[in-house]
Amino acid sequence: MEDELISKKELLDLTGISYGQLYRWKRKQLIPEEWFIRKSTFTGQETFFPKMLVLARVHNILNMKDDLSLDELASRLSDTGGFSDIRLTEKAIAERNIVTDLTLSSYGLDVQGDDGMYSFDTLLHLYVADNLLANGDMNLEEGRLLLRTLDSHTEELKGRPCELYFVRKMGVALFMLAPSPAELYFDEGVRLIAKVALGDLIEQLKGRLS
Amino acid sequence: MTDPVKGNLKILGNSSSAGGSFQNVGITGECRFTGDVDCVKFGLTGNTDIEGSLHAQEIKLTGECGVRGGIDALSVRGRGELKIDSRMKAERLAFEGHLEVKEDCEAGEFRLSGVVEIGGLLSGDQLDIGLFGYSRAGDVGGGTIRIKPSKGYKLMKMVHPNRNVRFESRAIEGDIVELEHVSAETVRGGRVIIGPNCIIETVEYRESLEIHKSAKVRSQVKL
Repeated sequence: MEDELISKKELLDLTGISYGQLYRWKRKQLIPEEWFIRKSTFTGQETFFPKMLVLARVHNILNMKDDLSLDELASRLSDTGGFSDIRLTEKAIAERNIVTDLTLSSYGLDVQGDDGMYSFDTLLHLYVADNLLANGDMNLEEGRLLLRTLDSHTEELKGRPCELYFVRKMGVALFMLAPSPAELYFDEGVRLIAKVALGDLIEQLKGRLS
Repeated sequence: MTDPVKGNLKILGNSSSAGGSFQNVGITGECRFTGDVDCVKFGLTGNTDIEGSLHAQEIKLTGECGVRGGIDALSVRGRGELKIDSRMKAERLAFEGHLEVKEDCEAGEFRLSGVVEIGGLLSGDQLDIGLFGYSRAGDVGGGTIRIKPSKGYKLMKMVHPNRNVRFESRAIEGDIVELEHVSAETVRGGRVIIGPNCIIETVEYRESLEIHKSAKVRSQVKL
């Protein structure tokens, strides 16, 4: 699950947007500047983007731009802004099909706020756990560990691109959170089960919420 | 914006200021700001140095202006010399003279005649550059890009026939690209017109490509 990059040309081909749109969105900060990665290739310098992130973002922009002006869009998309004060009830989550009932019933009580509501961060953590459970990578007990890990480091990683590494050695599960881009190297006994870019999931989650 | 605490600043002659937040700023003469300037209208006739950044709705310049920090504005108009050590962002820019930006310059509508030097990326929905002398930019990107010698240059050419104009850049990418007297490594676009006296390594185009007979294009690729 390497973080794939996509060149500017491929991005335009895949999404059908124009250079003008791309640069306009950049100026309006719909596409964050950190995503413009300059790299030298054999034809000279080229700009690349993190594939998953940028495709999800462009998709979101295209879907929403009919109803909202670009400035409104910018305030809605800028990181978790606009969503950070969102609070949902268990019922709303189930209705929107954000995480499965299984996840909700297993962990819901541990993570919900005092008033029984779920914040965006909590929702994100559940969403991460749900994804890993759905892939069959992780079992329910490990999920609890994951949620604790995410919960205790939310503040430090806020607003920074971050990756979650899920590894196992001799059957023991370990979770690691690393601000990206980070490269981790493990000893031979370690098996990397999953590597999740939290930014991708934030993007997907926002898509489901809006 | 209608905050009653914000006053106007008017300077006639030679002065200096710590900067701050104002309604209107008008300078006739010379002024040095030692901090950030935040205002609605910024008018200058003369000479100014801002050691912080300049944030304004409307900037009108006649003369020389140096900004250490960045510029963030809705509209920038004027003539003279504008030097920015950091980056510039403006919805509309119409300028005659010399524009120098060390980092990126992002604009909605960018019209300039004279000399432009951009260290980073020059981007905008509409870029219209009339060249007069040697200009350059790291990269250029946007919707419609037109880079041509200005009318003034054609006049000067009659008096000084061996003076040349040139615009140099690494990559130029736009939906509609029209270039004259431009040297670039790569030009990518939808509709591309390579005019006289261009030297381009690679042109990649989607819809159409025209190349003037005096232009040199090493390779062209239809996508």
